Formats: sequence, structure tokens, C-alpha cells
Amino acid sequence: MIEDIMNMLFNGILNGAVLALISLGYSLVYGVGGIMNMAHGAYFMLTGYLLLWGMRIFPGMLFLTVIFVIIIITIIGGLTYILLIKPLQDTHVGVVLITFGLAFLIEQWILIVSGTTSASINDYVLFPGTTEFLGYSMFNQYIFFIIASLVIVSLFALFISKSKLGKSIRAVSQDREAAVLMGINANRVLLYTVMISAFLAAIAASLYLPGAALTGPGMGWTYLTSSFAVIILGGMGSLVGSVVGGYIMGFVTSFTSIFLPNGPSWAHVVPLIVILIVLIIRPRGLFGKKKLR
Amino acid sequence: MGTILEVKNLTKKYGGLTAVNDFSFEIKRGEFIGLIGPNGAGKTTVFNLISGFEKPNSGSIRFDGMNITGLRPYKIVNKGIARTFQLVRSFKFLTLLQNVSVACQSKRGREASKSAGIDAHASSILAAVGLVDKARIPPVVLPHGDLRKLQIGKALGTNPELLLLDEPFSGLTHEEQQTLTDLILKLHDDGLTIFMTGHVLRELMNLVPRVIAMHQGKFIVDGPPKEVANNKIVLEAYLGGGEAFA
Amino acid sequence: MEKNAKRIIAIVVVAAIIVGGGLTAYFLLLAPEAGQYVWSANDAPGAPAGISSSQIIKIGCAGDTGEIQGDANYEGAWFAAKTINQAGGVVVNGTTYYVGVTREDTDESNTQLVTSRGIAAAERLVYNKKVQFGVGGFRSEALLAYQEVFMDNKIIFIDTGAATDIFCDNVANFYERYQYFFRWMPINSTSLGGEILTTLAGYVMALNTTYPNHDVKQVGILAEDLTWTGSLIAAIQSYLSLFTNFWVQLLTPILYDISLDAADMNTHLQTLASQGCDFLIPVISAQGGILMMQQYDQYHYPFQIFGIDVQSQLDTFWGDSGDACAYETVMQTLHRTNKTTKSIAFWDAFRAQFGHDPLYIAIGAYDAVNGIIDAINATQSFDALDIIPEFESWTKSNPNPGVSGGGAWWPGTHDLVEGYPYGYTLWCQWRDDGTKVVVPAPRWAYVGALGYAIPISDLYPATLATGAYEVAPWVNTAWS
Repeated sequence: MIEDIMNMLFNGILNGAVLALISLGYSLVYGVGGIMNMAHGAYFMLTGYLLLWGMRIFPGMLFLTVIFVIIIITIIGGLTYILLIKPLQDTHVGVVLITFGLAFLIEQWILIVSGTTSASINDYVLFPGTTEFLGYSMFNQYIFFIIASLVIVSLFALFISKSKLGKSIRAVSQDREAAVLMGINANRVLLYTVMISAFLAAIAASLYLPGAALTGPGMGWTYLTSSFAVIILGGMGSLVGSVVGGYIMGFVTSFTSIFLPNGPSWAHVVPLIVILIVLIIRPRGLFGKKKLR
Repeated sequence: MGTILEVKNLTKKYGGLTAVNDFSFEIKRGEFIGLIGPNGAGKTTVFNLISGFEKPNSGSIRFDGMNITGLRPYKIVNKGIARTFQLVRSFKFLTLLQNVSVACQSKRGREASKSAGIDAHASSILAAVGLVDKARIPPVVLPHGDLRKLQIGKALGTNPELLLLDEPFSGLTHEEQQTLTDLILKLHDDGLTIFMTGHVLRELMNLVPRVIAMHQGKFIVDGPPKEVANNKIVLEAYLGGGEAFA
Repeated sequence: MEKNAKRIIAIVVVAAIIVGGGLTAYFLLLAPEAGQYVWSANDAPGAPAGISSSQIIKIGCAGDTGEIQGDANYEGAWFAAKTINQAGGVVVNGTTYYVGVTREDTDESNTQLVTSRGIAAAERLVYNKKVQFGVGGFRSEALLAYQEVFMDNKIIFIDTGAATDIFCDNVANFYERYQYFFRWMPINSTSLGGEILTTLAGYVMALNTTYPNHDVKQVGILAEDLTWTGSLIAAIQSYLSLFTNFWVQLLTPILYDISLDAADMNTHLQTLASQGCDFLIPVISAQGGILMMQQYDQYHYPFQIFGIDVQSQLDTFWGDSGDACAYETVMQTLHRTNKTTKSIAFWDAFRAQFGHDPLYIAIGAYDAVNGIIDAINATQSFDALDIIPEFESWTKSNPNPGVSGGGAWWPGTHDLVEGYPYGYTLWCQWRDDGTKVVVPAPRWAYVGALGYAIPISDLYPATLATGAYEVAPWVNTAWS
């Protein structure tokens, strides 16, 4: 029993840590620009494949590869905004469609370039082996990832509340026109926001995927839909909501897998049921301040 | 006293409707000037054109000798023009101090707060608009009059040379109007150039030494309040002008 | 950008869409031979250039392009076509014909399965490319939907990858409609379950002698929650229930949602470990395999893995999994061993052509295309109603051996006959140096007449084995 509970807690936190990092960026962009960036999951997936290729082409320079890939993804985030989102940002449907298209493009491009579609990138595992606690053993890389995720989320919270850019981001998210009147270049703030979100997705991927394998170029969609569910649960645009929502999804998933009959089949359905119930009671989501736009 | 704002032949069309039609005027540095006209006369459009929220179809706007026609809003703010909206706009979930300090981080705002520091400068602005005792609370709980003051405070945070106030008195109680009037007069005395709109003439007449009147997007008359109030076209525009002067 | 510039661009875009749409509509619907695929020598590898469309035997491959399963199907069919064409094609009534292959993407390996894409692919094959035969299929849910397109048009379809029993039950129950369906690969789910369990029992018995201090007893199942695993698990459970009083005990099977990620896999493997699992039977056809082996390698779980993991059938899995699949034992249709006299030659030629091992679907497609040509040759006809009786005549008494096995089908169901020397799989185990060997397949089975289990004949002769079965060092430590 104690092992089952540990199992539920550990994997709930692990799942939550991934979802929180991915959803945070997704939610940030929605909150600031009212933009649904459907390519967000593709950033996560692309990070994995760039790491895979980096690992094969420059096997001796793993650390440099990670840094380089994170920078590339951040830049791709920026380009997504400048080239695709900005020209269309007055039409929300347009942004959704074009970023959707970008995500497909990246996916198909990887299918064409990559000879094989699923692969492990475990050369990037920083902490191999396992640690035992209360009779339950945990993969060190996952422990590291969980800690790293908590640190990154805290630093991010600090950045948003204290830094100048953070204040500008909050100002734009609350009233774009009023923010412009304060001399804020809202487009630039939005550019930084999309870049930050891509950066967070890239960090999440480069720490989590080495212990998780690349299951195919389509895996970006799984994470996109999960984080979409998370921010609906947490409240569209709420940063606290996306972190809390991520962990709730994580715990519900692992609880379902372990304790419910036929749980593993239902592991990804029960969280959606929970979300439905939450939305019936509180249509704006747990921490939602705004109505859906 | 040089010219601070020069608007020439400004025209703005929406499809077949001409909201602003060949509109020209000048404002001198340090002036306090009102823009009047009935609802729908195009006052807010003029403000939107000056502050960059909309682009004119033709005509030019020069500020301090620089051509600012069609610049993006945040760039115009950084040149030194601040404005408020008719509807209150504020960052609902930041405190008043944070609201103003966001503005103090703008290009001109930073220069102004260089000596004191951004937070200190922002509190001094809050003190000036009479909100310093509420610095730590968010605007969601404030009454309407205080929100108006906050708007002006935020505009001041960007350290403007010209302040555009769009219908600052609408929806305020008599008492609130009084304190706001005092505040605006004080800002003017401190040397700020102020350009404000209103559709009820009486408010403006008592306040400003010079008024520009417009109707259906067109310039009608420019002069001291008394003169403008007696203009025939103005009287016609305000059908049953008695209401306007009541 | 100015408004006018935007307008101009919008007009240009709209105009381009209208013109493009018009042209597409014209070529698809209005032009003579609209949308017809033109078969040429390009579709018939190894055939002489300049052959006409009428000289091509048109075979359509239905599979998920870009995923190993669909690509394998095409590779197998293409390679068979090339071999046949290079040998001079096939002469029917005095005319020489060559084998042409084409493929359409059914997207059936997608974890977010949309069956209409499979149907659309089958329709393109049938209506646009006018194929005479279909080969393929992997995900049963998808094939169930799109096989109907072939049945509607009375086109023979040979299943090369989907295991669910239902397909051949349909043939038995609704022969008139489903007589065009044949399964040449793999053996059906129930038989797979039987082969897994009897061999596993054989190893459990042997290992209990080797490890006197540990009861090798608990068996876990980790399976995709899909149609094809259902009857397989039911078969394992029914066999195992007979063993209960004996040695082997079954833990609650874990059927996972195939969109699982690493945290879910971690949850499931931990659950199995905490229940004291000794042998894990994976029943996995897709990406779950790589997640499982990566974590098995990191955690060094004290159980052996012995079952179906399709990804692991490819030699490239060693590198793809980051060298993490050591000691995994998987069912595999073929390896470089003398399963039939043609097997090793095929294996080497395939590797020389593609640079990797053939997946079971590739082997199925290779045998299927060869079978089609054999039947055409024998009947001197392309008519499905002539060819079906020829296929049906290839029974245990009159087999048509391919590279994968003895080549016999049950007449009533069109299903591959299970059992040596017809349809059976090999058990292959990864070594920690990245090589893979065929291990022996000792078997125990419950014998009703006796009321208990006894050793029965091996799944295949020991001569096919190329190495001994090994227990992972960490499992060895745990069991000693």
C-alpha cells in the first residue's frame, strides 16, 4: 500500500512538473496576447528531435548541444510570432490556423528528415540510476527534473512579479491598450512572451525527454492537448492556474492508473471528467479571472 | 510660447462616413484648451488620431516640430503625449503603485524618475493626484472618481508635455468633479499643456480660456468660451442649446 | 503594411485559391481520365522500362507511411515485386506481366486514430489507382473500417499485420462478402496468446530449477488497450487459469491507453514491480516499447521481459532505444535462421536492399505478393473468383511455403494455420552487446486428459536457435 501511495505521489508530481512547465508558457501567451499558439507542443517535440540529431552528430558535446537547441527553439518561438502571429493577430482564428499549420509542418518535416520516428535520447540523462525512499525506487533523472521544474517555476514567478519585463507582461495581459498608453510596445512584449514560452517548453523537453524517449513526431500533440486541458482547468491565462492545474492533472492521472479498476485504460479520460466537473461548477476554471475570449 | 501641437487638414473616413473632415488647429505650449461638440462630433476620433490609435487618411500631425502622423501609440507616448480614455482603463490586478510605476518605466518616465527611483517617483505622482494612501491596493475596489485620478496619474507617469483628457468628468458625482477640476487646474499651473474634450459645454466653459468647437467632423470655431458659446452654428449643433448651458 | 497592400495580397491569395481549386477540380473530375493514376514502369521495380500500364499487375499497399509498420508493408511488397520482375515477371496466356506496387497512407499507427483516413486511403487505392489486389493492415481498428472498401469492390485483400481474430471469423460467418479477405501475417491473437503462454511456461519451469531460492511465478501483462490485444489476453488468461494450481500466477493485466507518456509507463512498471512480478509479458505494437525498455534499463527491475514488442523486432531498435533493450525477448516472425529453405537468402537480400532487418509485416507482404503471383501463374487468370479457390487449396496437405513458414491456410476462415511448420513465431532475445539471437522455445501445456500441465514439443526445433536464453544479471541477483 505504501508503495502504491508513493507510486501515485511520485508519478503525479512527475507528470505535473512536465505539464506545469509546458502549460505555463502556453497560458502566458494566451493571457498576454489572447493568442492560442497551436505550435506550442511542436516546440517541445522539436526540442527532442534536435537533441537526438545533436547527439548523433556531435556525440562529444552534449551540454553545448542542449544550450544550443534551447536557443534555437527560443528563436523559432520569436520567428513564429514575427512571421506568423503578428500579421494575423487581429484574427484569433487566423492565428490558430496558421500555428496549427506550423505544427503540422514541423511534424511532417521531421517525418521526412528522420529515418526513424521513435528513439531514445538517454545520452542526455544527467543522473542515471535510482534512489530508494520508503521502499520505492525513483529514477534520479526524474527526481532532478522535478526539482528543476519547481526551481524554474519559482524563478519564473519571481521574474513576472519583480522584473521590468514581467511588469510589462502583466500590464499588457490586463489591458493592452492601456499598456500601450504607458509607453509599452505591446508587440515587443508579446514577442518576448512567445519566446519565453518556447524557452520553457524547450527546457522542459531537454530535461524530461532524456528519461522519456521520443515516441514520434506526433507526440507534440499529446502534450499540446494536455496543456490545453490544464489551462482550461486552471483558468485561461492564469499562471498560478496552469501550475496548479498541471499538478492536479498529474495526480488524477496517476491515481486513476493505480487505484481505479481498469485504471490504466482510463488514465487519460478521468482527468477530462474532472475538468468537466470543475467547469460546470466554475466555468472560468479554478483561477480564471477573464471570460473566454 | 512656441507651438506644441500642429494639426493640419486631418481627415479620417470609415467607409462612406467622414468622421473627421479637413480638421486643422494649433496648440501653444502651456495652453489649457477644450474641444467641444455634441455626441458623435468626432472628438474621440481626433484624440485617437493624435495618440496613434488610428491612422488618418490624410493630413498631418506635428508635435514639438516632429511629424508624428501615423506613428504607433507607444512611440507617441515616448515623444511626450499622454492620454486618458473616456472609459476607465487600468491594470485591475496590479496595485495603484504598480499601475503608475509601469508608466514610470516608459522612456520618458525613466528619465523623470532617474533621481528619485521609480517607486519613489510613482508614489510622488500618486501623492499629486491624491491617491497616496491607497498605493497598496488594486484598482478593482476604487470608486469611479479615484479611477479617473489614477488614469491621470498613470498618464503623468509617462512624463508628458501634452496631456489629452477624453471626457474626464463623465459619470462623476458633483463632489468628484470638483476635486478633479482642482487637480487638472493644478497640473496646468505646474506648466503642463492640457487638451480636453467634453460634450457638456458648461463644465469646460468655466475651466478653459480657449475652446475649439467641432460638428460632424468639421471645424466650426476657435476662441474664448463666450465667443464660441454665441456662435450660431454651435447653437444649432446643440439643438435646444439651453440644455448645454443649463 | 498598408491597407491597400493587404487588400492586394488578399485578392491575389483568393485568386490563387480559386484558380488552384478550379484546376484541381478540372483534373480530378472533368478532364478525360480525371484523377486516374497512370501506372508505369516506375511502379514496377526491376521491370524493363517502357512497359505499358496494361502489362502491370497492380498491387496496392495500405499502411501508415512514415511509421515502421506501414513502411515495412511497402518494403516487403516492393522487394517481392523487384525480385519477381527481375526474374522476368509472370507469363499469363502468352503475355508477360510485371508486378507494380503503390501505396497510400492510412495513418493507422497514429495514437489519435482516425479511421476515416484509412478508408480514404483504401478508396484512393481502389478508385483512383484501380488496384487489383490489396496488401497491408496493422491496427485492427483501422483495418476493420477500410477492409470494407476492398470487400465492396470484390478485390482480394491480404492482411499482413493485424492479428485480431475477428477478421477471419467474418470470413467464416459471412463468406459471400468476406471471401476476398486472407490473413498471411501474423497468426491470430488467440494463437499468439497460446504460443506466448506455453513457451513462457516452459521457461518458468526451467528457471525454477535453476533458482531454487526463488519462486519464479508471478506473471504480469502490460498491453495496449486495443482490439488486437483483447483476444490475446483472454487466451493467456484462459490458459493461465489452468496453471494456477501449478506454478504460474497471473497479476492483474495492465491495459494502457496508447497515448501514454513516460510518467504513465513509470507508474505501470512500478506497480508490477511492487506486486513482485517475475515475468512481464508486453503486448505492444507501438511506441510503448521504447518507453518500457528505457525505464527497464534505468531501474533494473527484477523481472524478465518476454512477449510482443513490435518496435523491438527491428535491429535498429538497439540504437534507437539508446542500447536499452538488452535481455528483452520478443516474438519475431523471422530472423536469420533456416525457418524455410528460402529464409536466410531472403533475410540477407532484404538487408542488402534496405540496410535493416525486415519487420514481420514486411515478411508478410513479401510472402503475400509472391503468393498472389504464384496463384496467377497457376490459374493463368487475374479474376478474384479464380484466384480465391487456388489460395484455398493451399492447405496443410498442399502448402505453398514462403520465407516465413510452411504456407498453409485454413479453408473456411482464410486464416494462417498456427503451429510448426506452418505459422509460428521465433523467440528472439537481445544480448547486452546489441546482438539478437533466436533462443530455444521449450513448452509446457495443460493437457485436459491428464488434468495437469506437462512438457510438450518445442514451438520449433532447437536447430533453429542461435543462442541460449539469458537472465539479466540484476534479475539473476534478485532471484539467487
